[in-house]
Amino acid sequence: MRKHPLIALFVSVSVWAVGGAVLADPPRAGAQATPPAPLGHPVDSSFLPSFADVAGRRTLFVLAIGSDARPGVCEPVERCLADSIHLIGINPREGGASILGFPRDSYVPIPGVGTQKINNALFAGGPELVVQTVEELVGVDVDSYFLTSFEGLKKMVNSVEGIEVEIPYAMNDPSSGAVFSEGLQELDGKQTLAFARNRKSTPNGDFSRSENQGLVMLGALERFRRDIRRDPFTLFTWLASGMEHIQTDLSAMELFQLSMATLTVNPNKVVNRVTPGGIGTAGGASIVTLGGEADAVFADIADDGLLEP
Amino acid sequence: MLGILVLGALGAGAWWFFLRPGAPIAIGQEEHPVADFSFDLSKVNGTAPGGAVSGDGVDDAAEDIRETLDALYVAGYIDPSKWEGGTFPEVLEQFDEAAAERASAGLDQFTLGDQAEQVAFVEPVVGVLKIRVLFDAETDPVGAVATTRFVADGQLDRGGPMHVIHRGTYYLSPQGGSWRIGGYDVAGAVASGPRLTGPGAAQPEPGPSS
Repeated sequence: MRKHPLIALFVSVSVWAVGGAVLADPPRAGAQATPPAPLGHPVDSSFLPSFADVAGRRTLFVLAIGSDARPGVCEPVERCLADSIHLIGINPREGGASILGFPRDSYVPIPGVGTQKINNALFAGGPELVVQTVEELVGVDVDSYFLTSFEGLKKMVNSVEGIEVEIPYAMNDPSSGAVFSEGLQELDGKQTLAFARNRKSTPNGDFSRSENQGLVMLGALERFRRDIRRDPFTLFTWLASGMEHIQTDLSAMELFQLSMATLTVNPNKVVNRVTPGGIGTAGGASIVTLGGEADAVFADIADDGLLEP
Repeated sequence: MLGILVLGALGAGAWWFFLRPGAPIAIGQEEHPVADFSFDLSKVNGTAPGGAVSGDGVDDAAEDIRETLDALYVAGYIDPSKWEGGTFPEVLEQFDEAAAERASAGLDQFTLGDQAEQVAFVEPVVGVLKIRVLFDAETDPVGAVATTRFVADGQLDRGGPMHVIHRGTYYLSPQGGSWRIGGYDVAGAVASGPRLTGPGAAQPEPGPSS
């Protein structure tokens, strides 16, 4: 029997329509028409470049130098004595950092000068010679340096409206102006300088002072992170102040990138230590002698930028 | 009788393929024009060692930064021709290498995400930008922080509204003649349904003031 052509067409069209529907939207379980899944996702994400992103995976070493330059006493900043010298090691792989202070009376070989107190390296050859001295003493390559002065430190701290510092013990040193009770305190520029200069009202003189200077750096780091969390635009208050009061071999753009990376450093994970040594004399002057214990600390930080707590 | 059935079946098939909401070959639906979008610069500052700076250098840098952020939001939310199957290549072009690597792992933080194909169009409602540029001693721009507030309404292919609320803080550096994002902090949501308005509605917080 010959089929009617319209029936064939009807069957074809029906198959086409139903099949198309099946292919286009397969039936779901229950055969009930269910509403489509709601579209959407939350947005909550942040990223700051780490030191690894900025400088690669290698360990970074930065030298922070504080000059005792003062108007009418000693100028310029880079040709006075180094009142504070700190080697900062940053390990991008571990996400950690260390601050190693050098007592300013450390009696060490200064390239081209001879064995002298380390603070004389700045006077003898500027920040580059301090870098060279520390490189040969510790056995590291220093990537960059920062140099500031008493006035520079005061102005920087004031420009960011003070920093919080954990004062480790009560101090009363009229000569530096360090009169503090123990505990976390908000310090302005003048107070910060007094705290960082005090060595008479401390348990261990020059060693304690160097350690306290490390505490100032940690206080500044904590404040820096808090400021940026509160208002990202304050990054430039910090940077502009740093660019005005710090001498460095970094370009402004490198400073900007490093400052972003610094935001990723947790101050609680930074080890702050001072190079151990003994007290002695040389040419009638009081000096700090660095022996085997110091060599062990140097080997520790040179290895990966990190110090044992 | 059979003719009626055939016509009915043809009509049903045609409706399914060409006319229903979300039809694979939409006929009769007008293509929605892509909205023009550029952020409103509500605040621009320049900072250099020694204090604030202003002038053409600040304005030029701000314009270039706006271009980068305009491109980010247009490619991520507004222009379907730039979504490219949910890969959003032009979005990633606005980041530097390290940030692009991180952003590519969370692309939906800057885009409609893998559900973009369900969206018919997005129209910006609010786009506000604040910029602060850092200059070096030679007055060359070396970095910038920018905050954005972006709100948009859209429509789904299957019908029904959707919306985007996005707030961002971006850290940018000049690289090769344009500004690239090196760091970010973003918050907000992409959601179907109408955007709530009025008191108590979820809105992105305004960017920090400078």
